[in-house]
Amino acid sequence: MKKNFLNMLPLVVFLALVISFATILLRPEKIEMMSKPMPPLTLKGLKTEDIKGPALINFFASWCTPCHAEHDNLMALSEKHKLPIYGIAYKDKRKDTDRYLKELGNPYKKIGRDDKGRAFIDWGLSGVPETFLIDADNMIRYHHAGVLLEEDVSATIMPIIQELETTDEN
Amino acid sequence: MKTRAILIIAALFLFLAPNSHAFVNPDEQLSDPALEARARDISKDIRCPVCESQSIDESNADVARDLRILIRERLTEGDSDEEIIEYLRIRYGDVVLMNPPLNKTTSLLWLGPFLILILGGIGTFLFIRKAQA
Repeated sequence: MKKNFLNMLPLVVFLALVISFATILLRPEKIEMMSKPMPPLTLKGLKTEDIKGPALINFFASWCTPCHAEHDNLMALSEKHKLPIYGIAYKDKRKDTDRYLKELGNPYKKIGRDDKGRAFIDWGLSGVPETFLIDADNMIRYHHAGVLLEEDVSATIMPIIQELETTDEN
Repeated sequence: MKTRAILIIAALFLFLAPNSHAFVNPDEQLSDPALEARARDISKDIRCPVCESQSIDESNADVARDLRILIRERLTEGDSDEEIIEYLRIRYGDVVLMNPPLNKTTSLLWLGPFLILILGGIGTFLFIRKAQA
């Protein structure tokens, strides 16, 4: 019995490593930008002074399929929860963005155009969609990479917003 | 049998051959050769955020190209190499460096292989000794 366990040990260690690396790599939250002031925005259509938190900043593009997948959740956040969402269209042609939002609805309070992809780098993105939750002081409270699922909204976004609201009242 | 072994070992060396070439487009290059050389050096140290195993110097990804242009703009504005690398490290973390620094979070990455080698060595030693006994 003891010998069997020793023989299996390398496999067990290997699997433990695979699982721990996979959980870290597949986690949707990115920590680098969190608890930092949001980088200044000087985009066509969206500037720093336009933004009033708590709010979401959502990088998207009409050509990005995962963005379609999260669109309903953004609509629910802006309509049901009255959360302002500012959109940043990444390398997207104006008419394509317009058609996309006309078809699926427009959850955005305002839309900035990141045609050169400079805001994308400045905000530390590695793809679209990515979403930031910022507080009333324009500090980044949460950075989500990839599709914002319904469970991400209920388990992560909403609790942070509720926490922000209670600290605001005090 | 022996020739075959030699051939296999020789074939393995092919993996060491440089298989990457730069993707810097002529229109991205700076006219100042000293600045351009610095831009190339920085680019070789920065990992492409969307293609993981390539530096932005080797990648033809859109984001890699934007990063190369950003580096050149900052160099022209007079930023130091360290300032540019720090700008990217703050936003993307240590993973953006092709050669991540050794610290608490990366210690498993750097020391893990040696640890596994030592453990494996001990295991092999014990196994052989037992087989001989």
